[in-house]
Amino acid sequence: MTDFISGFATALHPLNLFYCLIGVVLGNIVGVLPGIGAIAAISILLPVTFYLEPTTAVIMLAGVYYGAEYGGSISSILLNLPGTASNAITTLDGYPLARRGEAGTALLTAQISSFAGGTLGIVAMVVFSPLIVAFSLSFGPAEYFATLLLGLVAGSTAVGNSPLRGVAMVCIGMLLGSIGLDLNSGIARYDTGFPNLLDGLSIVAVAMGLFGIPEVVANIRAAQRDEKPIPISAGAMFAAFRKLRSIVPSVLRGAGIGGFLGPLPGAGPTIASFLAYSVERSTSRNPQEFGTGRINGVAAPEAANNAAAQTAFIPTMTLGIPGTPTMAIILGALMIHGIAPGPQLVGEHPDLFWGLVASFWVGNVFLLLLNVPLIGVWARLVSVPRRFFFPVIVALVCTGVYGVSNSVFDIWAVLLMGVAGYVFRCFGFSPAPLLIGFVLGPMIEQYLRRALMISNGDYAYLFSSGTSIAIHCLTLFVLLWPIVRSYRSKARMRAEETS
Amino acid sequence: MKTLKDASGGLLIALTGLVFLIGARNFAVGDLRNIGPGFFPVALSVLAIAAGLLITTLDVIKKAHAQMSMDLRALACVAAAIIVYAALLERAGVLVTTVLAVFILALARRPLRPLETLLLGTGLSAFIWAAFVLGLGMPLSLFPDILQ
Repeated sequence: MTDFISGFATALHPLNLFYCLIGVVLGNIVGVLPGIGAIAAISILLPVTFYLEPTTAVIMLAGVYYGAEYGGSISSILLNLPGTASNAITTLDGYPLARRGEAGTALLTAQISSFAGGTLGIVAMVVFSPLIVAFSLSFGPAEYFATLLLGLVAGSTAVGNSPLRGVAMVCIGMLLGSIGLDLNSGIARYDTGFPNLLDGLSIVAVAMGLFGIPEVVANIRAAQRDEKPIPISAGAMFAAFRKLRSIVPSVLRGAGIGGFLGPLPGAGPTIASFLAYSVERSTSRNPQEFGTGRINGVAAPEAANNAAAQTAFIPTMTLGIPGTPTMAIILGALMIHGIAPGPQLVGEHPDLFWGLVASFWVGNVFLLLLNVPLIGVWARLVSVPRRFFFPVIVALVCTGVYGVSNSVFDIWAVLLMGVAGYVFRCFGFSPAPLLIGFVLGPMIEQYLRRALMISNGDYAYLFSSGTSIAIHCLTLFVLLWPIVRSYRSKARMRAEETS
Repeated sequence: MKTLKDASGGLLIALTGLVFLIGARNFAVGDLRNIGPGFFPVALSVLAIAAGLLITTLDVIKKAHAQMSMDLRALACVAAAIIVYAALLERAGVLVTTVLAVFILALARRPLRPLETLLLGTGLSAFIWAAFVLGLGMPLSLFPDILQ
């Protein structure tokens, strides 16, 4: 707890406050705008972080991530169009409320629930992170290998529609990750004569190419509907404060579900919000009222996705395992600054870790202060024609990636990754597993080779501790679960057909 | 033709794996006890090829794989804009490159609004120059080199 309080000294440093504000404002904006996600915004901001202290950089990137959860609910409620995937469920009750003239109530519920969910998620992070760190400090290469493998398998099979496609993308990602100088042998792999590739393919180019460019290609020609957001004023929001007492249990349930699901690899805010909504509906005395504009149907998912957005940082920061591609990019930003992710991070860089956690809460306060009084501004942002944003994204991507090493080589790399990412996406391949493979692949190879060196090539060493065996069992479960699930749902469908 | 379309997603993966396998032909694989720098690339390439072929087989059997249609015009415009950046940014400066790229992107959709596009391109150049060159100190100039 004292660590957490001392973290505020870092978080309240004027420079960190400034970049935290930039992060959450940008996150809020991309959250409000449907079609532009937090991950695209974070990859665009990555080059900027080269010029910042690592703590400041991560504070800003994280702000974009959880800021988008706040902003996304605004377009869900006013436009019936989810700003991000994890706000999709909020449209079900938020939009009917707004149509009924209670937009202020819906928005205030969403913002207050987001804040409460985020705060509870931060509390969970403060409580559980030191425990996980204490447990994992005894990890050797075998346990690391097991944990990374779990992250890789979970990240590849849980995201997207088909586990097989996920595995294929992970392989491609790990192959791309193997480009560059091999640390053990000093051999250059796949450098194809380019000295720029000796340090490996830049994660900035890979992230921007995979997540920024295909999004632009897919949306640049989409006709924009004539969207008229429901008008809203700050006064209507302040007037709704007295209605909030009834949402307290929903918020607590939602935050609990979100806080639990957030750290699980591949789960994340979207699944958390859907689950929180269905729990809310099934525990309600009037389930038929859901979907017609109940504020509990807004409160639970909004608390859940914000809690999950915060607790997602637990495995990323304490174990070095990114559960989602966004977390993979944030890990990549740390590695760019020479900070090795893993259990030793909290001990070696306590100011970074606790400063980041404290900044989460500062950022959540910023978002609440920004969104409640300034709601009119965000509502107007929704009606700005989207055609203005795509050139801005392309220009920022190209100029930004140039700054990675002041070389146009990385712009060509963005071109290649962008075209490949778009084509893969058209064939139903999700880019998320590729990025997770790209980040985790080199680490897995490193730890496996280190483990084999320690044990003189004896593979039994990988299963020599209870911890590593338990983690491998979990990995096996994650790998086999989709198969069991699809078999069960097929069996159920067959049973329904015959009955 | 329809079958080819179903098959191509997995084939693309297999082809990518093949390219990496060929690229890894000179790396020492080592043996299982002492794995060399080529072990991971070769193993992953083979796994990718296998997964790709399996995906192809399943997609062809199922026939009904939902596929997004590829928007070649949008892809060409975005790719061309990136190429403009890669080819011109260092030589022609931020202003010319950005305005040109913004016009190419504007070609993706109709109708073309010349004045709006020009204003957007100029404003964007000014922002990029202020943020990246003045703010972050990137070694880029606003105008082409010949003017300086």
